[in-house]
Amino acid sequence: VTLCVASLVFILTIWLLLSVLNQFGRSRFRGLRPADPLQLLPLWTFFAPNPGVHDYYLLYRDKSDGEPGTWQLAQPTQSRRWTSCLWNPDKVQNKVLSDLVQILAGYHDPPKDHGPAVMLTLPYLICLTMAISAAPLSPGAFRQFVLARKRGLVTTDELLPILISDFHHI
Amino acid sequence: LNDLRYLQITLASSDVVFGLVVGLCGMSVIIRTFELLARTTLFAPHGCLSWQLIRELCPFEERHSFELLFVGRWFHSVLIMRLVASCGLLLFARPSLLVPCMMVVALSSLLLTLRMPVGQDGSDQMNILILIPATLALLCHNELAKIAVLIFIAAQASLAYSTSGAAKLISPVWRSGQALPQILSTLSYGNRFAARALSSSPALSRVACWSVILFEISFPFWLLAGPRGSLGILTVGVVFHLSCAILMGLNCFFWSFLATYPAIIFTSVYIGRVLHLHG
Repeated sequence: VTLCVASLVFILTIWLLLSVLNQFGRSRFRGLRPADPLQLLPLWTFFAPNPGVHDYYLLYRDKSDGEPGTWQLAQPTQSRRWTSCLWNPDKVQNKVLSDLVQILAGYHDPPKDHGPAVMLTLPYLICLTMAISAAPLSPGAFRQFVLARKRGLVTTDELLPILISDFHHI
Repeated sequence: LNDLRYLQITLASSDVVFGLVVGLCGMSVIIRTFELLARTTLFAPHGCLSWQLIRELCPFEERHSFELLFVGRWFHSVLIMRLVASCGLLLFARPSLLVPCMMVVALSSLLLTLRMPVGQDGSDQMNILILIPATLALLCHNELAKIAVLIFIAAQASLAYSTSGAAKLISPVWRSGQALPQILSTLSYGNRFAARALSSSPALSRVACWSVILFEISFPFWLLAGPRGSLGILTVGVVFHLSCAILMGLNCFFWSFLATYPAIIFTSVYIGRVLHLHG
């Protein structure tokens, strides 16, 4: 056994042990997270213990001449196709939205309303970017977005707002 | 003599198994990279993954020169290089060709982790757990290094299944059988027909939820049951991941987890043989 192999075995053993420790929740082994900027330590809880049972929607509306228009859907742009078992590029954008909701939920003091502080948060800025890029904004118009959630295909829940923005002039 | 012969067989088979693992992982990387290339507008300055915004989640406060690779044409070039190199994982067996491809794919995976702190999923994570150790093993130029990496990949896959199963076992939503119909009712991971079938039959739904829990949580124990046991559980695993791909659109998961299966069979046989020789 060469030194190279022995070193590799040592690295893999430590990596595996830290991966096991990481499964016991981030709160208990919080110290591991900052030491892992490349996210080499996995967390395998796939859809558990609380499975994601909501879809997240980003809607926007424009206001020109003081009158707000109707809400338009910015994301998701289309339903999943049957070909998604082979080719599913839309999952990136859907996952970004659901990750942003997780980031919002992770704040110690979750921003419930559109106060000034929430405008400085990353989820707010990303949602605003997505809402702005969804369609061209007419000159002099303002745009507002809402990040909302809704239970899926069978039940007919109403959209429940998670984050509502101010009207922004770009 | 038995030990020596067994060592020869192990070394020979580890090479084939290693190639299978790398090739299947390459399939996952190819599909994922094509998907990212099809959505490069997301990474543009006006996109939701614009580096100007996403940089806030970057673990490094000060600016680094490698950030140049995260924007514009440079980022597209990284993706294209990753795509070309990942094809090499399927095509090449000779180390002189495979090693550069592995290094490009492994390094680009790490860059993508920094570039996309949101929007990545478990298949990306599993790919990293395969690619980095496999690259290190190839750089060692030693068959024993490959065996160590195959055991590591099998252990990580077992950890993934058992942790996921345990997290479901402690969840009242999963135990009651409500989890699967609710997940399958979503637009992102759902399927209308499967959701209706499970919603209309609570008994079927409970059986489905408990089947997933039992499959996942018992996964590591089957590896100790010898090659037949591991082949049995892996057949269930293939059906499970195929169902996830068809019903939930988790296409890359299928390839990433399938890539660990040759390593799992190898490890199961290896453990069985070691126990037999020393038992």
